[in-house]
Amino acid sequence: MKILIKYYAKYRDSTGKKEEILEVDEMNVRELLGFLRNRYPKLSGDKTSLIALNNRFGKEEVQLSDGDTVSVFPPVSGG
Amino acid sequence: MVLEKYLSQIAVKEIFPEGQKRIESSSVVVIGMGGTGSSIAEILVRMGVQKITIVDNDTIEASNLNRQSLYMESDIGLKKVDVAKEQLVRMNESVAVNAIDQKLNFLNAEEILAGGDIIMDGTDNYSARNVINTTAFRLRKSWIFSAVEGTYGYVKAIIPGRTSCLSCFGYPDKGEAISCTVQGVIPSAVKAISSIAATTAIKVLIKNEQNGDLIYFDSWKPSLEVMPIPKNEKCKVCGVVSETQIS
Ligand SMILES: [Zn+2]
Repeated sequence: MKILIKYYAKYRDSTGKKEEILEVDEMNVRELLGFLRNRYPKLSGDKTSLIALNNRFGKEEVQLSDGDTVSVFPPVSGG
Repeated sequence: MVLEKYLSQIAVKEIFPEGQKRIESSSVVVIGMGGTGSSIAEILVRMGVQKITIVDNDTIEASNLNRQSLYMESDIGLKKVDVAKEQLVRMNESVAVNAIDQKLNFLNAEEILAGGDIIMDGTDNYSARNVINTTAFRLRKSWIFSAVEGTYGYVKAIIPGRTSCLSCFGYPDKGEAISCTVQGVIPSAVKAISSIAATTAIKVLIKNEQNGDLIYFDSWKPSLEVMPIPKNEKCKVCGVVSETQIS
């Protein structure tokens, strides 16, 4: 299935992309993050990342469906 | 109310007329008086907040001055809360400032947060935000999360019982500050995030705002995204299970 992945903030540098469409197997949101971290090791610089599925933050156990949009954000800490 | 001071904001329909009274009668607690905390405090005090508690145990450094506008060159080496208190009163003589020269932790948080109608996050690390998130939920206090680095940042209202909290979407709960001089941040991004945070606070105070969406803003691109964060029933802070344990 095809998933649109959007990268935000410093993750655009980490991946060299603003967005991309990836062909992936059946998996949930958490597994997709693992897949992306393998593909772009710089994403693993953060212990965790914030992930929205179809512009909504929610459970990481949700299974992805063909045509979903996944947005990946870094967990900003500064102030 | 000294009407003249606030004429321009009262003319805004979102504030007029009851909003200004609510702003002036609100008690605000600002945790951290660095980039975001000092900017948020300035906006709220200039708008008429008359009771503010500021909490920080840092001293002013030269590297703060590009974005922390309460502090001047001659203040380097002085305590942030002392200088901030003096400046805030100079901005608005109606304000009473409670300056607390402490770092927020689980031991002092309950007493500090209990005094606020709303808590503003001016911290720079995950651990401190976890203290705010956990304690504010226990006290049923609303708070505004804000964080910034590089050219971008986040703001979210966290209203116990109504919105999701900081733990609901996997925001880390451990980790100390990485210095802004290492991590990097542009002053305009700090100001932009602080402005969004102050506006969000005003909405919670005067309009009983119940929206807990995550606001992401990048001042360089520029871009703004607003994304819903549903409550997570398994959240270890506000989830059904932990709520039962508390009560
Ligand atoms: Zn929660």
